[in-house]
Amino acid sequence: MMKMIQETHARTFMLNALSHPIGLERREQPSHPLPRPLGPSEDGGGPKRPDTESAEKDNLLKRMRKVDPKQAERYRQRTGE
Amino acid sequence: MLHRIFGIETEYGLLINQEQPDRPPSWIAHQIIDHLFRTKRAGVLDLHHRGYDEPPGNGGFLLNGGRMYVDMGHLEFASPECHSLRDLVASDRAGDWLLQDAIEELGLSENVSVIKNNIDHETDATFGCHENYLVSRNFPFSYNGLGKLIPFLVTRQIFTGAGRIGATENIDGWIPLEQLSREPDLLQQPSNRLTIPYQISQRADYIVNDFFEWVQHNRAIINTRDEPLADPTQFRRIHLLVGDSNLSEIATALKMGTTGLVLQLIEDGHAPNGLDFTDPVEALRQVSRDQERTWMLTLATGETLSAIDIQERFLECAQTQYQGQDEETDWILQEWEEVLRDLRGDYTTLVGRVDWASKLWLLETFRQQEHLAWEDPWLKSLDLEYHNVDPHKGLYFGLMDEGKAPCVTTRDAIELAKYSPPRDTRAFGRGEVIRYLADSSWSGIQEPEDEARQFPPYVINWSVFQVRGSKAFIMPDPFRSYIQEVRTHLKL
Repeated sequence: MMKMIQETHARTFMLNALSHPIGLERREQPSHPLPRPLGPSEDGGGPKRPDTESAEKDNLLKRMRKVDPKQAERYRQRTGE
Repeated sequence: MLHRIFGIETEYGLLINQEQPDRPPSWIAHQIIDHLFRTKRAGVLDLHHRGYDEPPGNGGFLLNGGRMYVDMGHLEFASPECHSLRDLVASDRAGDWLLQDAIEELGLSENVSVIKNNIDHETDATFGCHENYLVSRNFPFSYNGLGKLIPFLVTRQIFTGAGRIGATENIDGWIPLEQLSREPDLLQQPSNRLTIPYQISQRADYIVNDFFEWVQHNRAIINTRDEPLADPTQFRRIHLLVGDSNLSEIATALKMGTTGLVLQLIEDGHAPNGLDFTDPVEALRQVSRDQERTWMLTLATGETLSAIDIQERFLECAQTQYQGQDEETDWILQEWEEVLRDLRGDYTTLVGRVDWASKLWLLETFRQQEHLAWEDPWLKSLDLEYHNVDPHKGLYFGLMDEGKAPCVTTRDAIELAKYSPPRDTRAFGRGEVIRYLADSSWSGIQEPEDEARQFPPYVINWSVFQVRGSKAFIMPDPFRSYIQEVRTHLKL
């Protein structure tokens, strides 16, 4: 058992050195189900219409205005599967 | 948790935002692969020929048990086998993050973007997001059995579609074989680009059959390739290429979760009857292109139902049979019910949960602000930007920043899924092999010598691996982790 722990530590060190986040491990079973959506349905009264008139919309519009209007013309891909 | 193994394969596009790019997208793709495997050692490169167009060094398995490789010029991430939707969504997004990290670490993010979509507006190219569902070998793989999945797949796009501007004029790769083809009447009209300003699915225009086994031509609603990647006496893999790549985590979870439940209905003999279409391919396109979004369809029986009605028939069967089966099933049933209810109302209530609705709302908002017509090329560029996986640029992530896009996973879970496999499938055992090889001197191999090409020091595949000096280790059951056996085999 001690040997196994030592080897595990050694491998942990090596992988940490490579920036692999193995200190955390994925759960074998989910401890709770998928969460309820954080947004629209929280109050149980059905989804609300997003607030399309708020300042938040301005942030989205700013993000959209930064998009190069011609970028779609440059997006030429091969057909895949 | 559904008793099912899930997987998603995503082909990404690469946008090089330069007037005259120095290099083609495929060159960038190979730079990213080299960075991931040789510099970051996030996995181990294949040293053997996996097949045509997959020479040594073209890609490999990752520490997380999935694969990253170049396929037909596209970067492709195949998730590890997942036993829960939570793991699946985290793994799917981990693929996005691995690629975005690589772009930034290579100093390319100024001019190169990773795009998680399925079309190219300029050339009408398409590339896929394939879904994988493990089923028993006893699954009724017949027209009567699997055929019951068709009406579900034709109509599920109302909540899984990613949306797009316009329509394609020519179906790529069309092969007019007798009995296997249908006339693409709508698509041959050159005015369609203008008459279809926006449709809810990216892939609908490219699907030309109901059942077929090919993946590059004559794409079908249900791909019938028999390649279980597991014990073929026990398992089948239902492989679907009809769906779009989703940015919304809710949409990804619902797409895979509802389809998993409908497969269970078919397995158990509880799927609803009488929902067949005379021409399912036409119905698929009709739903996608319906500008009024009433989605009315005529069944083979002559009955007229909406796509929502048809989805509700499947939902009711699933609720009757599987409500209370487990927490994940209950989550799917509740989200499914809510999204169908909301689809009967104002589509803007679905912003953040349904990709086509999110994108349409963004485009409509922008159009009104900037007074643009649907034909304006800026809108196509915004359509593309919705799918940019860069959280600082992608429009979907703008919605997320504003709290409009609910999540089903967490940043920590995605970060973890970049380098760690799920622990309750054989991806765990495979990940252990990859970790062992990545730590060994073999991982430093740059270009395999001739001898190594013929007798590579390791060969890894989904259901088997062999390391030089030891026997092949077979992992035929995707539900088993094989972790102890693999450690013993590798003498760890």
